[in-house]
Amino acid sequence: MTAFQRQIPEEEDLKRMLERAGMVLSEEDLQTMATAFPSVRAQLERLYSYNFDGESYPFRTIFPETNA
Amino acid sequence: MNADDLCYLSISEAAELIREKKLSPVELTQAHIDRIDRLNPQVKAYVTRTDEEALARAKTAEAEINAGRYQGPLHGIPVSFKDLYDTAGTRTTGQSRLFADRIPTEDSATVASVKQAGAVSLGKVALAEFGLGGSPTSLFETPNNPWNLDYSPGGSSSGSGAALAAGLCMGSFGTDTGGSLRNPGHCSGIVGLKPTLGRVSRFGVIPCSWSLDTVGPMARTVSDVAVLLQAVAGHDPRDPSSADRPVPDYSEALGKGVEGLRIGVPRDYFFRTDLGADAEVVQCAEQALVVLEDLGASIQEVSVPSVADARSAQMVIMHAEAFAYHRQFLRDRAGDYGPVRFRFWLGALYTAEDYLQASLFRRQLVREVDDVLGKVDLIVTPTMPRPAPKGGDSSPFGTLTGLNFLAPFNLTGSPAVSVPCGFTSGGLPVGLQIAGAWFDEATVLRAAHAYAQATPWWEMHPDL
Repeated sequence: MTAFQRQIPEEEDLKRMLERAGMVLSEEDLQTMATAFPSVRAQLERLYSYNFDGESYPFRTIFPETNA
Repeated sequence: MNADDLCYLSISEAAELIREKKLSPVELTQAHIDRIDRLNPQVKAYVTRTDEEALARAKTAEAEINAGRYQGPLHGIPVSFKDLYDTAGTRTTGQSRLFADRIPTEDSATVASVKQAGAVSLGKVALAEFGLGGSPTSLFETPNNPWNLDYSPGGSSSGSGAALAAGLCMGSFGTDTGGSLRNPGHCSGIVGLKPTLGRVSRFGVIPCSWSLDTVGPMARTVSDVAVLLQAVAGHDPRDPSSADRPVPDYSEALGKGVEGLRIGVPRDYFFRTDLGADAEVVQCAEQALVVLEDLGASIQEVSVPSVADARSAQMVIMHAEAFAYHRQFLRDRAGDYGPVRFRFWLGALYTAEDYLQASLFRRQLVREVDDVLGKVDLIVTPTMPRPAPKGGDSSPFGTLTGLNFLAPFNLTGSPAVSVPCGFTSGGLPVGLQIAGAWFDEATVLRAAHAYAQATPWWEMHPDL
């Protein structure tokens, strides 16, 4: 999956996404959250620039093989 | 030796004097209490002090030693704990109003082990709220950097870094989810070790991120960190991520030097002033590499191709997991959090596929670092791109992307230490990061110790 296939959220999705998680924010807090959006988008675009389609069963556990 | 000199002894030096009955644990503990009385109002490292309990434990230690029951190098040594570690009968707040009155009934695994080794707890030290970062916090003040009170001591184990640099304890225990043991090591000019994920039990530590949190020791010398790690390393079935691996003698490994060790240097990312790394910080790290080479290590260029995106993956995983732990509290009592609530809310913005994409990235980074560590014994970098930042209120979100030297080793779970390697022209400390293979803390500490012994940085203390 690439950044273009994963729908990177837009700033206007913010309130809906938080409410879906049970979070009801004041207008002031929502405005502060919105300032993080450019960075969040940049994070996701970087992560989805990687193609892991070749992975089959990549995880032994959630932890990186500390008990291997 | 005056009382202030006592407070800047290393654990190893103090332990030798205590063992020989030339130094009383009560005298040592009282010297620290007096110094905390004098300096904590400006350094603000301690958030909860346990003076009476500390003196009682020191008296017990002294009686045991006088009766011929010396327990080892932590017996009678004053230490502190980040206020995320549960301490039976003493409040453990996460530096949040949410847990202002929370008094655990059981010690965390680390606290119990350190007590068992005979150490004396002076109390709980400050942190960024719940270890996630940012200031101000909703409870207690934010610590100041003893090297320059206008600057941050680093975080999130900020109180540990500040207390050690100011001579307000001899050892401290912090946590590291995105660099919180090594960042204060760099900013406060002390040694902070993030052990391998699974090396030390996290039982009884308030979580930030289940798959990234690592607990570990901090001190002013590498040999002291080795002593502290020895006391707490090992398997604990109460922590599902705890590894059932043999625990070597960390102090024994220290004297082997670096002759023949192969050191990998990823200059294509960690030394790039054109990407934003500070020139003085990079210069300190380059000079440290010369010292290591002079001591007999071989230096070679290596590359971890995906490392520049490690911070992005680490932030997605950390925020998603932190939000999951705090969701109910955020829904019911958001007003009891400080500005850290914004960082928790970020976790609500990621989907399951984002979390898994970050986890797949994590697997790739593990393989890349593993490949590098098949060719060299250690990876050496500056600990941070820049010196300690100014203190005061920080951005509600911190730095979500960009140059970051700490997160890669949280994702991989590798052991990594920060050891002092110089100062900027402005007098702020600089740290050198040394990372190694899983469960090979012994080689990481061995190289750090060899470097420290060849340089004067660990002997320097702030003028307070």
